[in-house]
Amino acid sequence: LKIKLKEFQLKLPWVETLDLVTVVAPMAPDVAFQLQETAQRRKNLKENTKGKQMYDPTQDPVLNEFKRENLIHRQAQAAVLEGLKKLKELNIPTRRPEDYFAEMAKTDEHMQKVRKNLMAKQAAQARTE
Amino acid sequence: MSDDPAPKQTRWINRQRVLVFAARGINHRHRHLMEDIKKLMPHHKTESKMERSKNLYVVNEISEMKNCNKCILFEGRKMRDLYMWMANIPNGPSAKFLVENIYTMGELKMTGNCLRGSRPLLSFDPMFTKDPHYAILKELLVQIFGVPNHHPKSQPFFDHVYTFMILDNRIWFRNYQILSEDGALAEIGPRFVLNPVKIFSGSFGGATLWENSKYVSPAKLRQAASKKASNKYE
Repeated sequence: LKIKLKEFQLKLPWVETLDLVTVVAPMAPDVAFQLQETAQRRKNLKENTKGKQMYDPTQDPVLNEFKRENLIHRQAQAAVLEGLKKLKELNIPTRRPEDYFAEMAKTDEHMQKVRKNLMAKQAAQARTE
Repeated sequence: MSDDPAPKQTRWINRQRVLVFAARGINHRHRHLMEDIKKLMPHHKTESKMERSKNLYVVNEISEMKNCNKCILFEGRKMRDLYMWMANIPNGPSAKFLVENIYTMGELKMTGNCLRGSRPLLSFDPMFTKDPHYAILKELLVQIFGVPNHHPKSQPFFDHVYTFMILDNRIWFRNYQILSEDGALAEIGPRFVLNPVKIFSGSFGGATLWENSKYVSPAKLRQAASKKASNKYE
């Protein structure tokens, strides 16, 4: 395996590949609070419902997903912080100027839909409260 | 005429071209995932779907004809399972993954957006440096998903980051938009999980370098589940 790796590895400066290996960034306090809240809510839910849906707290799919996505999010954050620092050292512009327009990955039409969906969700939330 | 050489031409060193295509038998969701990947990679080339009856070695010839040195091939089974091949074309290695948990970019809960063809930062879990097979996969992922510097169709700014995380012996892929420099992110999508099956030394063939001992095919899992359910009322 190692021989093969050496064989096809590219020897290029970092700018060409932009790969980063980072450890997970520390959790932001508000996210930690949110996590706790979710855990509590799930616990309450479990105590208040009878019947089949009994999860072990370590196996709870909702809580686990939240934790996992958060972990990946933090990993990305760490990479962003480090990556942008490195790019700045190399004097490469990272921010897009406000007057720079180009084709985006998602179309405007699609983003409009996303926004509409978000608004609808918020409105529903407000109504229940 | 000035005698300065055009700088853009000379600075594009990392010339990767990735052939992205599928074999027949993928479903709509898999096709959307493929389209998303194509949207995010300005250095891709396309090809029409390959007939199932053809041997996988043919892929090497197709890529050579298309001038590609990397390849992503999607292979569907039973219209529900998706396998993804990633290969370094002339000399290998290649890897086969089972793709699980697919969410495409079209889904409405992902609120981010990025420039089409801007270069992503690639963020890897520290696990990728520990094990040799993960190291090989990392190199493969870097070469395929990293957009080459100064690629003519790429944008000169950095507004998204790919995250590859190892959890549960699988590689979790996420794509985030960078909202601000201090690390605020919004997810763009797509999301998927790669479950590595095998690594081969050649491209689409050759000796098996590594095999995932924990891999169970999804058909087997479904079989086991139905068997378990059949004994429920005995």
